[in-house]
Amino acid sequence: MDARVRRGAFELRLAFELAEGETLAVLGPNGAGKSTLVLALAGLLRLDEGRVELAGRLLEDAEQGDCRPPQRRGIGVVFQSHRLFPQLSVRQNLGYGLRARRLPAEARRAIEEAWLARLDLGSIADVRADRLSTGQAQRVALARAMAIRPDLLLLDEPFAALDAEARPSAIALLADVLAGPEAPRCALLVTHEAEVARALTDHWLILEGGRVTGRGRAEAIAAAPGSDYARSLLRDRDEARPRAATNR
Amino acid sequence: MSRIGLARPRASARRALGRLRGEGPATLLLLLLAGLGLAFFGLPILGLVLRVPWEGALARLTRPTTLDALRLSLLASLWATALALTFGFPLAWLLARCEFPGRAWLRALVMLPMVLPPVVAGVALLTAFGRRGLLGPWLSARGVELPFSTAGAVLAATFVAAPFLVVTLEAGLSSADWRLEEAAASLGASRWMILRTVTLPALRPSILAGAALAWARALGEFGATITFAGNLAGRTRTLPLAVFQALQSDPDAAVLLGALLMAVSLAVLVALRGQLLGGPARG
Repeated sequence: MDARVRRGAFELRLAFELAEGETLAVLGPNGAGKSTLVLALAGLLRLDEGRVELAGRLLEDAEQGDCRPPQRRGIGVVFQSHRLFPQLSVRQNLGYGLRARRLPAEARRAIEEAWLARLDLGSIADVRADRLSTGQAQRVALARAMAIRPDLLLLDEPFAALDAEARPSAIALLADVLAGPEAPRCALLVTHEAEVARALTDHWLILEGGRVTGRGRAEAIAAAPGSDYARSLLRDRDEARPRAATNR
Repeated sequence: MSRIGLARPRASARRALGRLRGEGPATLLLLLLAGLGLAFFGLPILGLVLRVPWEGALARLTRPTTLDALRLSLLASLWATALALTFGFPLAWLLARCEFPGRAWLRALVMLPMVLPPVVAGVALLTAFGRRGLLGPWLSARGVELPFSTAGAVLAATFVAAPFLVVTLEAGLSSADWRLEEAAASLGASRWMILRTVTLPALRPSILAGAALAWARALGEFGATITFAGNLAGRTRTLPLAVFQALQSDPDAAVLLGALLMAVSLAVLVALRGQLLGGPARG
């Protein structure tokens, strides 16, 4: 991706590439342009300049006016507030993307069952989505995005809605999925918490005020932080541990 | 404070009530006025109910002319509701979801029949679809005669009732969660699938409320119908027209039919009270 996106008075300008199998964490404070990035990649916000390519396919080219709609991008999104379809069951939410692709019922069933089992959702398969706990909803959102076998999995603050107790297991489960045989070609995790990023990948990109202020291995950024924000992320880590031990 | 409350009772009623809590005389005045208002609305209804000639009611209600009027009323109001849904949904969608110049004007145009005197609506319909109206000759040439026909009664009812549906649907569409539609799109759902599986289910309460309101308005339609479609027994004489007719020959029958219409309207409003107050819409 190499693009410029305007959203009101805000402007996001960034360029980055993801390697096959890479999980990149985009870290930034509030208002850094993280959600703008998610919307632009998913095709829910048009680029003002630049282009996006994924797995050798052109998704959008602002100069040529090419823009693949969200439907045909092969990007799975786990939204911050999950955005499950409230009146549908867990199984129907999970299979939504497969229905949209007109997969034969048998094949769809198999994929649904596999993800229900993989994310331990079997016992609530027929529960309506608006009756779930946030932890359950988060897993359904992940399964729904993964079921379409996306080339890119976009995770927008996936753990923001979860309470402290539910987090460690949810993070571990996501790490497991990202490392497993069903992993997407690449994944992009948007978060403002260094702790979450660290648990899932050491490929980091620091975003501040719509600009990239750091990109590389977490250790490299730690060794030479490019901004006060990056420094503060690392400070948090040192403070987070004793706090975690005493307060929680 | 009480002066403001009196001068503009509606706009500031809630604020005034909050401020007036504990203020003896002002509160009393407010309650008195509210009581008078209630009596003003309540007395005619009470009168109608008290004057209902229960004796022979069944015979009157099952008269062929009454049954004809009832049949026509149901036919016209249900058709009007169906037409309002068919054309009202796209209109509401346009108004709620699309930014375009003149949107405020379009909204005003769509809502106009709500405030227009129904007789004027009838005259307007005549100038458009009447024999000498804008489309009259074109329709006549194809053998379609709308004025003074049942189809004309349907058209008149649709004209006055559809705005109620459009307004309700527009409100529902504006407050619906478009982020769910984005999620559906990212999963590969076509526009049609999104409409069917996400938008419409979320709109269900608005659709039901709007359709019921439009239906109730269509059922009670009088002015536009009598002007545009006339008062022909068995063809365009719906229940309200039958009430008007009966008033001249058999006032008891008029009261009875009036009470019947009122009961139906009241039932619709009671059934809808949750939705009209923005109650349990979506979870």
